[in-house]
Amino acid sequence: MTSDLIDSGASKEPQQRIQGEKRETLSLSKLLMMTAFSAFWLGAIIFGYLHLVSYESKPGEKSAHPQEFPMESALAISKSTDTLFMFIHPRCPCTGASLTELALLSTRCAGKLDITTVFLRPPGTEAGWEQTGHWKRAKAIPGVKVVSDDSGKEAQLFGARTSGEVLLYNPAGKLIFNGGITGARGHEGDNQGLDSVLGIVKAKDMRCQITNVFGCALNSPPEDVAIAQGLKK
Amino acid sequence: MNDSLRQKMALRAKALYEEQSNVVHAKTDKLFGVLLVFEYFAGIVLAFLVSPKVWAGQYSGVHIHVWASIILGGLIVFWPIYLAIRHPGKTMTRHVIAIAQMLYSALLIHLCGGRIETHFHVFGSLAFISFYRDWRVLLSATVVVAADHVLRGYLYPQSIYGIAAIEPLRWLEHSWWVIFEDFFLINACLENCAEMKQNASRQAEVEITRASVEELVSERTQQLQESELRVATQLAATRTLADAGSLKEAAPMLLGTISSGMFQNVGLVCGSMWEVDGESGQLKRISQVEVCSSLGGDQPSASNEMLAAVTQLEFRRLAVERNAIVHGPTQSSGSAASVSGTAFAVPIAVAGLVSGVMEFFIQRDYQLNEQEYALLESMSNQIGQFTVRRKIEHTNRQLAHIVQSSREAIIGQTLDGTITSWNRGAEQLLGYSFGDVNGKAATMLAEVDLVEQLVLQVEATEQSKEAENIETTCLRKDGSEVDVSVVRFPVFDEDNRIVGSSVFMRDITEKKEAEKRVNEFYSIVSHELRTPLTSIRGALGLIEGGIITPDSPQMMELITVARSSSDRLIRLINDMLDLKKIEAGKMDMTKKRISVAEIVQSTVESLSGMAQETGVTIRSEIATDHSVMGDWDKLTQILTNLGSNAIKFSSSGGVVTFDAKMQDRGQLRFSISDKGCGIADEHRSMLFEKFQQIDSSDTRAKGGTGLGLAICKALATQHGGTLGFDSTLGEGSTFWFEIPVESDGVSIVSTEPRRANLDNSSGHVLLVEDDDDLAIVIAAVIKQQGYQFARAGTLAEAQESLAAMVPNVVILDLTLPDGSGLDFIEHLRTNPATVDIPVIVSTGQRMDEKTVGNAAIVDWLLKPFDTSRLNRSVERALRHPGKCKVLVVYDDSGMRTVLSAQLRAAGLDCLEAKDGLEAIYLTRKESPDLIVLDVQMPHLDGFQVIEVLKNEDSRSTPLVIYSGRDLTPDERNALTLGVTKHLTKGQSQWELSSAIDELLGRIAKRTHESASASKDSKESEDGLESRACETTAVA
Amino acid sequence: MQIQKILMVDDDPSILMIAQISLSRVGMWTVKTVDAGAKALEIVEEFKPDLILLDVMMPGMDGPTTFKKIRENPALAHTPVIFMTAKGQPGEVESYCKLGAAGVISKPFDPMTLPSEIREIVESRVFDTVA
Repeated sequence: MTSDLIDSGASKEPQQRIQGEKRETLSLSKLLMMTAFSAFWLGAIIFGYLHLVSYESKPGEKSAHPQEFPMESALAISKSTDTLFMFIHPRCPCTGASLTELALLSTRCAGKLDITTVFLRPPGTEAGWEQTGHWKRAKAIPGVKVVSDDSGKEAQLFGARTSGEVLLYNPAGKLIFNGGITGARGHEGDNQGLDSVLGIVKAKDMRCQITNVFGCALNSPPEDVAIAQGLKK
Repeated sequence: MNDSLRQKMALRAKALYEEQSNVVHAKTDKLFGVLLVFEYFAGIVLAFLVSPKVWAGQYSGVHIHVWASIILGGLIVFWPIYLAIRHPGKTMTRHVIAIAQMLYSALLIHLCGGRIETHFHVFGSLAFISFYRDWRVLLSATVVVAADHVLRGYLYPQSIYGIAAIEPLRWLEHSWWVIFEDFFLINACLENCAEMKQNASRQAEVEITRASVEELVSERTQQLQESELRVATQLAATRTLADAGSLKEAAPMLLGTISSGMFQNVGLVCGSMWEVDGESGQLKRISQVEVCSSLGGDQPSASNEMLAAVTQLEFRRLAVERNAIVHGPTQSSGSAASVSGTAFAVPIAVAGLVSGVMEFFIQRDYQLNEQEYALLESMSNQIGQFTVRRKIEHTNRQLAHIVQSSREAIIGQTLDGTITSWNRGAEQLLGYSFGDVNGKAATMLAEVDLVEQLVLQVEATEQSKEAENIETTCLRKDGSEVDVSVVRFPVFDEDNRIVGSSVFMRDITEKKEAEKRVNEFYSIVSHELRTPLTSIRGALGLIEGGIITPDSPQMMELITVARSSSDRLIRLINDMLDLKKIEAGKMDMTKKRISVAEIVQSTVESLSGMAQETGVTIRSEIATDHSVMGDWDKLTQILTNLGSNAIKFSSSGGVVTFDAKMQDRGQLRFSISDKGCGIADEHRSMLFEKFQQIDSSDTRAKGGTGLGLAICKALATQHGGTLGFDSTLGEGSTFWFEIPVESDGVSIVSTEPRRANLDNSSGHVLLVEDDDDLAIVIAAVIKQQGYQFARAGTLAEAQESLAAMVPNVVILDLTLPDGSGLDFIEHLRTNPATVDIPVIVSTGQRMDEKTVGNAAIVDWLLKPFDTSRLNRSVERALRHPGKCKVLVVYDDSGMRTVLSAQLRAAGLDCLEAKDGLEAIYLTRKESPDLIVLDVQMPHLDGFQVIEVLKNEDSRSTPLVIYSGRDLTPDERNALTLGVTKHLTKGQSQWELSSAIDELLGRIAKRTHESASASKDSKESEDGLESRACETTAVA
Repeated sequence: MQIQKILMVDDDPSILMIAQISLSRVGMWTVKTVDAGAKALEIVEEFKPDLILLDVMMPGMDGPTTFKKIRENPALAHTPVIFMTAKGQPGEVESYCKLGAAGVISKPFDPMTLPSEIREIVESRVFDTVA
């Protein structure tokens, strides 16, 4: 819009014709129309963009997480360091961002943090369903354990609803962080979550212990809801 | 000039720059168009690759990214692509593109999940955007990026970085790179722009310069062409003027050249040349020219209009007055369509004096530019100078002609004597042509030393003495010498220095010869005089000196010698004096009628002694009784001289023959022939020279003086005759001389033509004259005209003659031995048989009107009279009465008519003249028998008419002078031709007609006389009573 | 130089007679007279005069022509010749002297003084040639 204003000033000058150049003169009305349309266009884009951004910024479902590490879990926590668990929907594209952050984390907190990624295999899916690119990627991250979660028992146990959710337990088994380590859905980059975790792990900075999680839902919705949302199996 | 040029360049630079920019923008727009398309599909592909599904447990659906890529992506790219295609290069287009690109960049980041690498797209896009070279576009792009962050920061802070504390730094770090890149890109853009601007301005400069150079070149070319044209025109004009002899000759060419040279493509140009007439000072047109110089299409209008239009008196007058070119718009006052245009009047002047005007008319508005003005001025000057030059040349030529054609030799020389000019006279005198002598030294003519002479002449001139003639000899071309008289004048140049001399030479050969002859004559005369003197002196000297004593026998001899020499001297002196006298015409000659036979006889007798001595026989065969008019003594002298010569040159036993024969032309030829030795041809010419003698010894001894023949010839000439001889060498000679028969000079018989148209045989003329000689003359005249002739020497004889036969005309001498002729006239009048006979009086007395009064005298001839007049009078006298013509000269038409009517009634032919001129004309044409002449007339009065007529044939015409007043005797004498009656208008009509009657010799018919008399008296009673009263009153 | 014989040439017989008397009786010379130049040439060689008196104006051969012819004869190259003239022309004397005449006597002459005039001319001529 501001650019438009600048433009209109310039384009309103009559084009000078010197030595046979062919330059059409934009009539004022046309110019105005075009400007108006541009404005509209921009608005539409912004609208759409915002829509996209809002989707990406929509955090995952909130739920309660066990404050003490549940004994029932097949997972184990480290006695010496903090232990971090990330619950991943193996097919959620957004989680790639989380994994990237995780890799960062792993690098930055090497030795100080025990990282385990838990890949959900939703019920009704065949074995190996969870061994996607993410699985391989997670496996590739040094110091990161990759665990498969049958039917989402662990996820349920820990109350993880969104892919990429991170639970951080200290060696005493106390939950010191839960949330996401991405800024927005599928969006790498600096984020509060990562910073918080890093702060906690490295500096015992407990200022922020909860962040939003941005990712796909781990649990399947009821069928009618799924159909309403246009989801399929 | 420079500023406007700079302005132009600036404008052009700007235009070029904009054009260039436009091109760049358009190209970049198109580039982006393609890129955006690519990106769009790339985005979709990316979305499908990276996040095709969104999961929820085991359920999946289409990821929003996919929709975003397709829909939002499409949304983002469609508008800029459209603009790129439809409006490439526009400002809006590129801004939209930039915005879209950055938006798509943002989208891509989202699609890729914010990967760092995707952020490179932002930087790359910015870099691409910099292709626009338009920093504003970069700004737009940057704004989008910023806006994206800001917006998201405001709306979805989490989506960016969450808590503010750390973020500003991160944000700054992020944006730092953008700013960094922007900085450089914008800089690059600006630099690029500046470069482009510079290029543009340079190109503009080049273009403009080139354009201005081209313009300059074309301007200069045109100027050059124009000046070439002017030069060509001037050259043509110069050439024309060089060839032409006068302005009139040159005018057509000049006008044409100037018209077509100066006024191009203006249609019809009409030019005319006017000259100031030397006498009247008015302008006269001497030439007119029309030139059509249009490039087709234009139809020249009718030239009549043009001609009318050209007559711009005002312009010409002004041009002449001011001596400056006058021009302006003008309108013609033509007959049909009026023509308007521009007229120029160019004065032709030299040294301020205007001698003519050149005029041009163009059928449209025209302004003279500087160069054209200058051209016209220079032409005017040129022409002016030309006219002056030609005048000078003309004068020079005339002078040259005068010199050239002079008969006298005129030779021009330089100071050192080199010949520089040579005229025809010189050529004729000396035989050299100019080519022969040009440049050569005058000494080739063998003249006296030049320099000295020149110096002398100069000195003489300086002292105002006259140049002196020098007599010398010159060499002709053929080597012969010619005696010349030479005058030399110095020639001065403008600074009064002597640069040469001009020599005038005259052939004085004749003069010299004459001198020589005179010298010779003098010496001969001297010799002829001194020779007898020598004898006289010698003889007497010897006697006186006692050498010869009285008793010596030689004494008588000497005395005789002395005496005879004295005689010789006397004779010589006498002869010389006589000759001089004869030649001067002062010799007394008593001319009488001489009988030829007598004179010859007497001469023969006188020569008989001489003839006897020499044994020569003289024969004389004069068979005629002719007589000649001459001096007895002189003729005898001629005859004696010739006769004695003939005898001298005849040998013993020879015959000398005297003869006299009549010749055709009224001359009598005397001839003396001898059979002597004859005279050779070469001696012919000198025979009559004085003192020349073929064989002098004999004649000298016989006392000849050597002047004999010369004297004879002179004597013959004085008689009006000639003397000559025929001779054949060895056979003999005949000397002859011819003398006219009648009295001196006039050979009446030959000059008088016969009047063929008169019937003369009936004319019988009686001459009463006592002077025999005169009688003979008259007789000859009369007889020659074919009339019958009778002569009476006395009145008595006349009476007898009358009785014998009545003549038609009487020629009467008044002084007769036995009475006065007037008495005879009385006698004629009394006798009815002779009353009508016209009388011509010949006498020594003047005509007296009183005596003439009643006589029917036709004419009054004063002795001596010329015979043509006599003839005419006789003619007139013998004329048939009915054919009498009277000329009435009167300016008053009334009187004239009356009089003419009367005369016609009297049976006479009457001619009328109303003034002197007519009178003369009619007199010459008709030869009237009588003129009635008024004195007071317009044009020519009576006196003047007589003045003219008295020198002509009609000088014997009888006159009746009718004057308004009494005339003095002198006037009457002046107003006289033949027999004249002077009447005043106071006198009655009757008197006039009676005078006419008388003067016509009573030729008017008797039958009418009474009728006219009664008529006259009646008229005199009626109309002229007042006159009669007047008369009495005057009287 | 002594004069003994004189030849006189003149067309006028009276003059010849008078001159003859003058020259012979007064001058005491032997005189021969002829009345024409041609005749003079005939007898001059034979007569061998010491002096020739030559009239200028003569019909036929005139004085100067006769003189030239006389001079052609080498024997007579030095015989003095005196011209006699009645012409009275200016410059005559000079021209005759240039021709080679000894002198000029003009007519009419005094018969009593004629011989002395002749002697004068002849003697002065002698002086000239000697000088």
